[in-house]
Amino acid sequence: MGRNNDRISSVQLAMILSVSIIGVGILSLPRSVAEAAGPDAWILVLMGTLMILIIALVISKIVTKFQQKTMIEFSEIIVGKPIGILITIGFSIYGIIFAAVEARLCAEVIKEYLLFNTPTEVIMVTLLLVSVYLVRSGIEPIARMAQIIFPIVTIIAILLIIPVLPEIDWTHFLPVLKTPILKLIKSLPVVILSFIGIELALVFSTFVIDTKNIKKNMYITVGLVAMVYFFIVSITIARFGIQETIHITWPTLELFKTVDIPGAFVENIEIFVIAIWILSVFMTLVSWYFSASLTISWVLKVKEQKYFVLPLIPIIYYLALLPDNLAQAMDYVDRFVNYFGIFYMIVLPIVLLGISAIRKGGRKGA
Amino acid sequence: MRKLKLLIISVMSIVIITGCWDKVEIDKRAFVALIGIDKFENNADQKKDKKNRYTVTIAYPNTGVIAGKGQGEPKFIYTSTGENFSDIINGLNTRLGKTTFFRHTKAIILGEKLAKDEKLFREVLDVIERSPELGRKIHLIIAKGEAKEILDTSTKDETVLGLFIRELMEQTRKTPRIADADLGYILRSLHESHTAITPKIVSSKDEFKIAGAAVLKDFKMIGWLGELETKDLMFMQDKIKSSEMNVVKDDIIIALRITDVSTKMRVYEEEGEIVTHFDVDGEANIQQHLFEVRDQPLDHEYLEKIGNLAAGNIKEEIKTTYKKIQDDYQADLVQAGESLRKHEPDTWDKVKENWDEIFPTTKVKVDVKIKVRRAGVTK
Amino acid sequence: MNFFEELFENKEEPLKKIEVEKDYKKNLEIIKEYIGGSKDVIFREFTIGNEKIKCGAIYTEGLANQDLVSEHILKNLMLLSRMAEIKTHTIKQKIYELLKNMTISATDISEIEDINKAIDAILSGDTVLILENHDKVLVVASKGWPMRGVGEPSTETVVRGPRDGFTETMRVNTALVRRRIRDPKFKVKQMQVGRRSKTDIAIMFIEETVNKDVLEMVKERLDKIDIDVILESGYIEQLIEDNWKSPFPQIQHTQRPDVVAAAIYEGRVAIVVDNTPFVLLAPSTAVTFLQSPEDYNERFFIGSAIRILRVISIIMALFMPGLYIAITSYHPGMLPTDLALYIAGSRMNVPFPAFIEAFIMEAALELLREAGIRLPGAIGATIGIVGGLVLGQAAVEAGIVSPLMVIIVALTAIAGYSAPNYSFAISFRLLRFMLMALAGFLGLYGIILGSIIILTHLCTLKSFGVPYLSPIVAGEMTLKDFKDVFVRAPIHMMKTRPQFLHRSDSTRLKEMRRGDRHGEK
Repeated sequence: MGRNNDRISSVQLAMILSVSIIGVGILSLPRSVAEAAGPDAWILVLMGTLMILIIALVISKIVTKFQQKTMIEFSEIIVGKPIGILITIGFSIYGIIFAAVEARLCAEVIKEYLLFNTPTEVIMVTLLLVSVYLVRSGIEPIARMAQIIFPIVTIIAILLIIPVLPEIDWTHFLPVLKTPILKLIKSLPVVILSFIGIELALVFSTFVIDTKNIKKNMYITVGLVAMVYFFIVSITIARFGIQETIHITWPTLELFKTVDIPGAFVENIEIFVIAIWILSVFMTLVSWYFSASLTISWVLKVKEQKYFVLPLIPIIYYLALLPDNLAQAMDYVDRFVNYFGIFYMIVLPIVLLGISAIRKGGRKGA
Repeated sequence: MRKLKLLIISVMSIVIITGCWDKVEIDKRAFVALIGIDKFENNADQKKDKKNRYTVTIAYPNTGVIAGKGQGEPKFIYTSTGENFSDIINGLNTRLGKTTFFRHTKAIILGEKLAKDEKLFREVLDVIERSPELGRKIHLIIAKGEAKEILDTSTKDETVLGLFIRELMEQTRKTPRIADADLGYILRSLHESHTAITPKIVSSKDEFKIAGAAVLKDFKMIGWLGELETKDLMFMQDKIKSSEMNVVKDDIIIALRITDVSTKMRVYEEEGEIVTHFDVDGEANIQQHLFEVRDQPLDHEYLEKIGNLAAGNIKEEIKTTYKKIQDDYQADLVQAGESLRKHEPDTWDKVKENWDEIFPTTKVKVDVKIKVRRAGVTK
Repeated sequence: MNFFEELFENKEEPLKKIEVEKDYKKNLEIIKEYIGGSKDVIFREFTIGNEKIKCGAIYTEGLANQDLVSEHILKNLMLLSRMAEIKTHTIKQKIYELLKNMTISATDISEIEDINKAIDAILSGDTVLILENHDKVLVVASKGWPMRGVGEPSTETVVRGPRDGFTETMRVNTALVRRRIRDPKFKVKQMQVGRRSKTDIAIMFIEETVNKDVLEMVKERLDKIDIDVILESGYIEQLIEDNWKSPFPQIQHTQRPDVVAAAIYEGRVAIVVDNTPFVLLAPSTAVTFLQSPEDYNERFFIGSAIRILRVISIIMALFMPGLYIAITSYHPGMLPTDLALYIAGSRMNVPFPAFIEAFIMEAALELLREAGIRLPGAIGATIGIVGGLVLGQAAVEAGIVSPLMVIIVALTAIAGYSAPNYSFAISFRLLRFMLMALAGFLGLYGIILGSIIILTHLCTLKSFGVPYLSPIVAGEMTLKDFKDVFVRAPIHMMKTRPQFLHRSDSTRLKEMRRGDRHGEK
């Protein structure tokens, strides 16, 4: 009887995108930017954000041009049926792989900090089964969930960081702009790839009612996420210094390990932080999982995405168990996900927009 | 819907049937409050096939006594030897009947000999850094002598040894004689400039004392700093909160309490030489003067003189200690190199290759301003 | 025809109609055949006036007001009608008008042709008159049965606020609400549900503020009900709620007329069911379950603080035992060192794992609560004290549970009772056990999984098309709706009604208090 008529607002789209972007990456982000840009990490984050704003503009242009059309529909219109289907199939594979990566990395972190002896398999299966419940319920509950989880996660994270503030040392960001500009530009992908997830807008915007606000809300998404990233990166580096940040696997968690709330009920709050962080990763997982099952249902022209949710579990589970260890998992991320990501996040939107613009121009000329 | 039910049931049964790998009831855990690590001494009874390298001593409190339920020893101490740290902890678990738990560990005490052995010391540092359980808030302390002796000390008032050390370390707020150096600082400083200091602990029969500091350079201990030198170093590192000092003026010993100290360090190049400049600002309260000194009103001029005297004292002390660090240890404990890298990157590019040689030749300049603010309640 | 008339138009065909015959005897026979044989249905036969027209009065003893029947119907017809000088032929033709205008001095009288309806009327307390040679029966409103007076409701008590509560009589209940809403647009529509019980149900709303979708849904779902008997509004609630599998109530029930009036003003629909003091309100969301009328009666600082306290206490009641299990058996690192050592020490001789320990205590608590409710007043309180104090103390001394567990259980119990709505609180008490089980198996990770499941469920849940978590999850995030969620904004700031109920007339308060403090000019 729970009637979900599959309509979300653009604000909700922004929330879904925000929770999808903030996932596993945030734990290691300070390390990778510190590695790439040293004391100029914050500049790198700002530059990356600007780039992402352009990408957001391109994506929103496409989805507003083809109002409420699904990804397969508009790509078929632009580049023809076979390629359109290929693009969509590619996206579902991408979604499955990304969901698997999120599940695996999440399980690794849980195993490292919360449950040392529990098998990874159990952690992953429980996480996937719980996500099935949400994925099956459709886009509206996912949107509502995102609306609840995003503020919870960010507000708690920011509140918990406050006790660190007296211990930070801003001189770690000195000297300013001593990194060669070329190096900064070369390491831009580090930041851009940490925004993987924004391309989900291509899939989800078909549900949005108020298409005219999509552009604004995509900017809001980028702004919010960039703020969170900027905050985490700057505080982490200011607390640990460049050398130390590069040395730690998950600097963000280590940052919370140094938090000592005077006279509080909890000590070692990183455990609590991980628990909150699981919520965020869960939403990322759900978004990718949902987009995978959704795109499959488009390709096969089935109305309900529900039927593809359960059959995907074994695939995701198997893929997630493929890497032997964390290092190999990261390797896979670099190898597949980043290429997919660059394709769907940067190449595809620009190409699609370009072609459609040319065609339109051509038609006008004719 | 039936599928969903089946799903829920299967999830529950999977979890219930297979669950609880990590469950250890709180009363079945040994809350290790203090770890002592020593280098294994090559005794005569050492069997040749065994490659013992460490002696690890752990202390955990008898929680029953704390809750007022049980009786007996207030703390348990176990010692074991082995090739590496995790080996030993595993071995200890077989003897304890409880699971060792390190999230509440307050301090790790290293024996002097271990700290002087670079390989072992680096191994220990890595174990500490890699462990998800040991946070950066714990204290790494180097003992004069063996760490085991410290753990064997039974103090009079506090039963939980680790907590006691934590309380002692809290005293850094009141006295600068304890090196204010937690693990986070030590790791960072070692990563950045390969040098650091750790607090020093000394035990006598039924008490121990944390004072002074051990100097680490290139991942091993190279010497000690005395209590007063530690104080000076704290001045230089801007970690001082308050301090005591005496000035002699007209044969009157005046005791001062220095508060609100802030130090700014600047490192720059001047006429081809690197200069480290300390700018110390502070306030002082007069704690003691002399009873019935009639002809000496405590007016502004007099107080200023006392302040200048105190400033002069501090200046001399800092200079001496800086020289000592330069000459005896060649260790950049004040992180002048880092400061150079941050504020004068161009200079740093020139000197960073052989900073180790350049640091001992740096000049030091000290400016101290002490203002006497209060003179107590007598005129 | 406007929307509302169309909606409440009687679309159903009545049951088979039994025409009233001219023959007086036959009519009487038919009615007797249906409801005769019951001692409480009284058949009183007599003659009217000098013409000796045969007449039968039928009413149910106990439901009909006997004074009214005898004083205003029987007495008038039998005695006073003789004084009226009426000619025989006019009587025979216009007996209805005559009786209505000159004889029977009851307030409401009508003429019907269907015997089935007459029987319904008799069974609901009216008096039916059958006349000789007349092919219609007269129904005289004579409802009047013993009923409970309007008293203070036993649940949802407030310190400040009106003291009247609903009773078991629908008419009284609608009157209590009507007294608070004198808006002509306030409508009370009535229908009957229950094949055998024929329970009266009133749907109340204000035409200009109500959410028409919700109203339509309510009506539609009520129409679909085909059940033999409705004894309490709970039956209706369970038959028309959106998701019966949910542990959360999706329709609020209340005993307080002021709550109903406020809800109707906000644009919600109230359903009054006869024979129960509990009135249903739809749609209801998680937020409405956390509101108490007192929040509005007190000044906004106090109202807001109390509401925040309530939200926190609901969260506490849900999570505390689970967290206790997770922390003591999985992550003692989360506790401050001194506390961890103390708990470890105090749990030293407890033979059970924390999960069993918590389960025993929580189950005992639920048992106590149940016993406390079922037992008569004074004994109930005693049981509470005996159970709570003595049992807890003894359990600790026997070493079955640790002292901290007792504290946790007591805290959750207190926290659980602070929710103003009983059925909302009880669902959280149930979910607590799920979280405890998950915490027992997977520690903090289990709790997070459990919260995700609960959150997901809350996100999918809707009450009459309104998302259960609105306005927190509304499509359009506006600050307006948050003025009455976790805090209760000052009344002069709550200028609009809650958006999430999508109604038409949203103005609640016109401009005021822009510097015009009382006493200042």
